Amino acid sequence: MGVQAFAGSWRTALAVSAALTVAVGTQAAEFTPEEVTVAPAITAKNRVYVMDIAINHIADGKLHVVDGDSLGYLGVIGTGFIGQVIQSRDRKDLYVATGYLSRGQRGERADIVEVWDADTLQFKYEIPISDKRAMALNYEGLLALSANGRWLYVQNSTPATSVTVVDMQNRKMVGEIAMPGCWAIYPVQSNPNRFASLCGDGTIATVTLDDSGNLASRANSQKMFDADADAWFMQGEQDGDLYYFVSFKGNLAAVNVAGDTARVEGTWPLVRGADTKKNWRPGGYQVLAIANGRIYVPMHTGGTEGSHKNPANEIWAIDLASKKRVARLPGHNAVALEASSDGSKLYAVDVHKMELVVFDRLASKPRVRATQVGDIALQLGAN
Amino acid sequence: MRIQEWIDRFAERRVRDAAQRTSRRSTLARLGTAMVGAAALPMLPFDRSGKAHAAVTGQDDTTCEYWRNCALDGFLCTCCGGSVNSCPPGTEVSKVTWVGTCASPKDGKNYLVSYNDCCGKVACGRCLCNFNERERPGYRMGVHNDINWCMANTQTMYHCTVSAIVGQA
Repeated sequence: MGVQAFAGSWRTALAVSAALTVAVGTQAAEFTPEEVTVAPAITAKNRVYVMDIAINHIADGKLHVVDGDSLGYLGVIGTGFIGQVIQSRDRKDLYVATGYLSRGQRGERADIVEVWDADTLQFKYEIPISDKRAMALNYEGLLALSANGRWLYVQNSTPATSVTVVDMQNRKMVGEIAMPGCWAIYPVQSNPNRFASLCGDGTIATVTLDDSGNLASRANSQKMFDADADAWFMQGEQDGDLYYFVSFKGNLAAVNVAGDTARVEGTWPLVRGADTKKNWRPGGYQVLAIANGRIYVPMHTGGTEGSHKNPANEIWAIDLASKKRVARLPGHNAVALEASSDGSKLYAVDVHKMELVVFDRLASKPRVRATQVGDIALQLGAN
Repeated sequence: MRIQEWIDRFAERRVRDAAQRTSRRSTLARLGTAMVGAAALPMLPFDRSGKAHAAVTGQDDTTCEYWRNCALDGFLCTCCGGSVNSCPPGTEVSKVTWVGTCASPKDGKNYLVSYNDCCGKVACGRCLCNFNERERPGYRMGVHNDINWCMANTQTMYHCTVSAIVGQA
């Protein structure tokens, strides 16, 4: 209709324009034009960080920030070409280890650690790092921070494996530690200069740095798992100096990483009795989350060799003290789990709907809400 | 054992080829047979919830269920202008890869499948598939598929993944 009205002649158009001007003028005294601003810093108490590998346009990954209470979308940080993200120890900054090619899909590669403000989502500064950085799916253990927040560890793969050490106090990369046959980084809570790593021979490597961030010592544990017969998922869920690992067939292990070599403090099966007939197994990418003394695991039926990334039919809650299953939640096709810092909520990624699923009132009677977020998210974080 | 020997030979050839084509000779030389490794980028078990991998017995190479895809993770090059053993125009073949073992529905025999990524162009975005038979986390890098196997190329952008038969198991 607008096109019709102005199609006649310039005279008609000008006449209409003049009439509109008069109309606006008469209302001016009552009208306050809006000022365009930037939204203030985020203050939401429970924030969910949704890592989106965005594989369909993989040079352009994203970290979505969602309000875990209202499920409102709060903002985004671009994470580049297969980036990894971790929070600073004070939760005020977000560290993004990523890379960029000079011409987007081609050209010179530059890898960096970017530091972003977690409240304003503004860029602060960057630190150049080695371009050996592993271009891998989002897993917690591929970017890790020492307990005192000084050392940022970046997993490398060329595909020979090593770890880049970045000094976040002095804002510079300080070295590289060869980690042949081992993968992922598990910082030790009681020793800021120490981390552990899972190795393909079923041992755990313990690496200790000197105060300059260089290798001081390394030792391997006794064999703890069989990567052929019953491999461990690489996610380690931390509880102080303990890390919990779960195997493809559903055996949970508590590993103490504080000493010169790691040691198992206990193992037990998740699947018992009648459940064994349906071949329940864990599956997904971020397969463990602890809240209120319970560990949550995404489980699927019909488990077999190669089903270890299948989405969940149920989410099981295991009491860590009694080692017994205490709840079975709906699966929501979960492949990633994370608990809110206050333990009141469990977050999950529904990989079919690509939704962030929130279980409220986790300890009593969970209520489920969901919102669509991102393209391909496989890792969650919580502030 | 025969498979292992074959894989070792395959890996050595890959390493030699790679060393000839790249300036990162010393790095590659150190890799040795550890480089046997593997398929493509990521992911998504999207539509396969609950399906056993025995279902990967199809004959149509443009579908996820095509039998060679039993451990493929990424975009099928057959949907992206390439084929099961050729990368789409203008891309380059990954210098490192991994070899899966898949059973052919035609003769029931197991074949060694090389999951090379094709590199140097934006992600294809078509026919995303994810199967994980004998796949393991990165501590067994040689059989890990949650990583970009264009990593040793000069051009590292991931485009799609082929599934070339390179031997009989």
